[in-house]
Amino acid sequence: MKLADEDLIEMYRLMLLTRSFEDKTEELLPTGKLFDFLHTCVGQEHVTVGAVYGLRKDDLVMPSLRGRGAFIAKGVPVKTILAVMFGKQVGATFPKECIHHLGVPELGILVGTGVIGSDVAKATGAALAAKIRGTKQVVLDFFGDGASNRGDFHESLNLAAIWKLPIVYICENNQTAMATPVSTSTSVEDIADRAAGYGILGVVIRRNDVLAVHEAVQKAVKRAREGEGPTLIECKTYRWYPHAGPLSRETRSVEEIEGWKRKLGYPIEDFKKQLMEKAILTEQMVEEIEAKVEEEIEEAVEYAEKSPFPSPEEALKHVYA
Amino acid sequence: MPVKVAMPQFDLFMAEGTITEWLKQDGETVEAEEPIAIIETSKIVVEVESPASGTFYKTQPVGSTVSVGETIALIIQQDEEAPLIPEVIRSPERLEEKPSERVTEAIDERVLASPLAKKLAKEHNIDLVKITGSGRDGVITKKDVLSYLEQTHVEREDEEIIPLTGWRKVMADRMSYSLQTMAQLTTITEADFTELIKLRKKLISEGKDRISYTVFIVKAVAQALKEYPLMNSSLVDGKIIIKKYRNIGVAVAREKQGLIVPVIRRADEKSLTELNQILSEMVNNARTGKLSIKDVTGGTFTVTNVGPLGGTMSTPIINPPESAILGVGAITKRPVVVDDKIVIRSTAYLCLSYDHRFIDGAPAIGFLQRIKQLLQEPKLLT
Amino acid sequence: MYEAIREEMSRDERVFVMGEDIAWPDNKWRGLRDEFGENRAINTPISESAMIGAGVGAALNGMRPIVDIMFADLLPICHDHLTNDAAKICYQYGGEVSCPMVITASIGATGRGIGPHHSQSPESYFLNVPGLKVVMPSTPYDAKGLTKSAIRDNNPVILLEHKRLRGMKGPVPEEEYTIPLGKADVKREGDDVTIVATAYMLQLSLQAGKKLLEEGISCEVIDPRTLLPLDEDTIIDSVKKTSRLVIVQESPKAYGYGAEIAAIVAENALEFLDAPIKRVANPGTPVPPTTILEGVVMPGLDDIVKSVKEII
Repeated sequence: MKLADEDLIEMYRLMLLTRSFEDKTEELLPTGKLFDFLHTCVGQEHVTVGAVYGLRKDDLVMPSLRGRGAFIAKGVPVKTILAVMFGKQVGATFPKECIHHLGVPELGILVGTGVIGSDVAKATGAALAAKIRGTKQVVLDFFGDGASNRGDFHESLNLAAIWKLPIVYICENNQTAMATPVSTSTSVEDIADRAAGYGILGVVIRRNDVLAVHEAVQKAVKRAREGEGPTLIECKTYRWYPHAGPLSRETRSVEEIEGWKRKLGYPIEDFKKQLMEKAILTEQMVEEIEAKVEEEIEEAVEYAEKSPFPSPEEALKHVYA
Repeated sequence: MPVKVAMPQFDLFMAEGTITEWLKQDGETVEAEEPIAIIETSKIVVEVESPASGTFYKTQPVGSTVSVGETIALIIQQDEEAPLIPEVIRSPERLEEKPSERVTEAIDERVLASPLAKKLAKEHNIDLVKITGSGRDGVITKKDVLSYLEQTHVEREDEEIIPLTGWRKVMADRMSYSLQTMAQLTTITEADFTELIKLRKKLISEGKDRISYTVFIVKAVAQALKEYPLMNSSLVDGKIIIKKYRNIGVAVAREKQGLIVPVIRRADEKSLTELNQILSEMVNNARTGKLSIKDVTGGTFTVTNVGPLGGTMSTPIINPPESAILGVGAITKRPVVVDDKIVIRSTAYLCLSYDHRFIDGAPAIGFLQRIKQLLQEPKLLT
Repeated sequence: MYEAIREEMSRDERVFVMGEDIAWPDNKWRGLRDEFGENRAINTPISESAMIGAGVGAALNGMRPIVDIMFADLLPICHDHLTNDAAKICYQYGGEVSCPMVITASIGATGRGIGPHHSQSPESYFLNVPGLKVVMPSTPYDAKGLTKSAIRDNNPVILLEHKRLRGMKGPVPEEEYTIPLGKADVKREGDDVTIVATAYMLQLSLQAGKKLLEEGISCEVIDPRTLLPLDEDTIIDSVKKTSRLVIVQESPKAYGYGAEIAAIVAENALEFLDAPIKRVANPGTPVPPTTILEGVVMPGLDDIVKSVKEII
């Protein structure tokens, strides 16, 4: 997809919005109003935004545990996301799932599971359905380095390969699964190498570069849509905060964190600099964008506060269709 | 030492007696041979006398049925102290204690019953303690509750309960025993009493005794038994015992104490007048409770005249160990065919039940026909 | 069952089947591939977990998959996708989207002693998972009707087919019919005892009913047909009539469906019981190989008859 200036600015805005949202939730956590863990994607915003931007409306996305950016980039309003994190009811029904795995059918976001690694199979199945129905949809399946060691990952890649399913597997290798470094858990240094084991194409992106991600994904999407089968894209990236957000326990040293930040780059800052250098973004524009983002976030907080709690009976509903 | 008064035995077969009335009160002075109680058995009612003089105390409440030999009262000799409870019953209230309640307190164990049994028992107001369980580990099941219900009766306000004790129980046992052991059937014939009625009227008009119809019937039966000895027998231990004496019992209804059968010994040897005298005396004694054991035992054949009560026909139940019984219905004017014409005669139905295990129809009907003949032609009575 | 699947696939193009070896010439479903093409009768590699997971995913994207797991003994491989995904989809979506998937698997001891991993009856693993449905037919008539309903149901349905009933012949109507899920069937009426059983055990219970009648014992035999959700009322009403209950299951006794049915009856009809509730089941062993050993642990006709007599 050829990117116009508006696209670039929008990608910047989306990343900034995601970052600000994550920061806001960190701020709100001590108030006790959020009922869930915070698996913030700070430092990795470029992967989800870059990958999801430019998809067709009916393409499907399976976010990872740490996929706030996917929701935002796919079009879920931040106020809705925050209201769900507050445990409030936003629509006619009350989906009983926490925000990380929420399914949003009208926007093509598939419901996830708290069991890490199982979603790969689901996403693969959605792609299978697309193939059978001939819809030409493509499925983006996000997961982390940890999930790539699950049996389902391997079975799913095999199935997608033999059936040439329209799916793009995107592994956000942020070097750590909860507290386990990838070097101690994963048999290969580049997870993308596993693609060869299934006879599919593997791609590695070695810097926090939103445009690199976007380009790679778009190529993979095109291949998939044209029936050439799946691709495994590995994005080397880094989680700036501990597993459950900035206020949870950190197992990595400060040196390590800073080292990686320098190595991979700063996804939003570097991009902003790039755009400003090319005069696509000006100081004033940046200020405006920042102000609008802040406004949107504040609005989200107010919306979340005001939204009603679900009635207790909701707990008993919808066990069966 | 107090003198114990035991339940006396009036005949060989008596096992128990019921105290129907105490004639003395606790603490009363009593003389030797003074009547102190009225005891009832299945056959008779007897007065019991005190064996000694002294102070009387009963040890069994009125109405209780006591085994022969058990103590029913104490006669305290002079200078002795009254014995302590529980031998002596001092107050009537103690009689009202229900034994089952005491039992429930004593038993600490829970009664095991299936849920269905518990529900049924509760619905029918039955205490589970009273039921024996047939299930595993003695658990009471539905079957046990239903079986208990069939056998017992739960009291209701609109029902009067009369315990089957004393003479009633004995009668129930005897009737049931009779029908269960013998193969009974009844053969019936109609006898014309017109001539007998005329004869009786004639006798009365001559100033002679009023001889009851029953007496004529007894006479006829006694005579016929001489000719048909098989009807005067008993089947005992696989042997037919044909009696050569004819003791005929006559069933008498008493108002409150049910049926009693005083026996006229050697009825065949007695004249009509003698029979009449014996019978009326016996009936009187029966109704006033003055019959002795001798009076009610030893019968070989029974006659039951239900005519005075209004009965027409019956299928009487044989009085064991006898093997036949004759029931007679009321003498009534009936249209009868004589010489191909319909005339009014006074007739009654003679109903002979006999034990068909060893008595065939031939001798039975023959016997009955002979009785009929004797009654229809009373001059044949000897 | 095959007929039902075929008819439903004709009726609704969203229905497709997926399983190992279904393209194999001898396979029960070979005909489907010929009729509907390889896109709707998909032959899979040995990937039970991903197969079920993919089934869920396909259901989320507009299809109605039937995933065949050759032996129910393998279902634990897919446990995560069955219990964490399939069962919870509708709940997670607040009812907006559901998972209309059927999982078919064969259960039961064959009588030929094929061993512990090909003879189990593992329905218990799933009966405690809200959101799933579990169906066990015992006759050809029920099998077809229930399969159709399972395919048309918008919830994930685990449809367990007993190996010993495969060749069974029985009347099946020509015209279209379905049997509702969640409804039991009184297969034999009686007054003295209620026997509840499924699949092959149901057939044995019917035989037991005939044999017991010769001794004057009248048995009411109930086939739940669907174990989850269970038709409690039919069973409760029957026990209220007979006062006695025997439950027969092929799975190990402890924590099987017999325990649940016994608890339900104790909760709702305790005062109607005239004897303890009995369960006839595998005593608590894996299913051994060889016919002789298998016969030792598998409940048989005599076990059912004996159990009934113990409480009459």
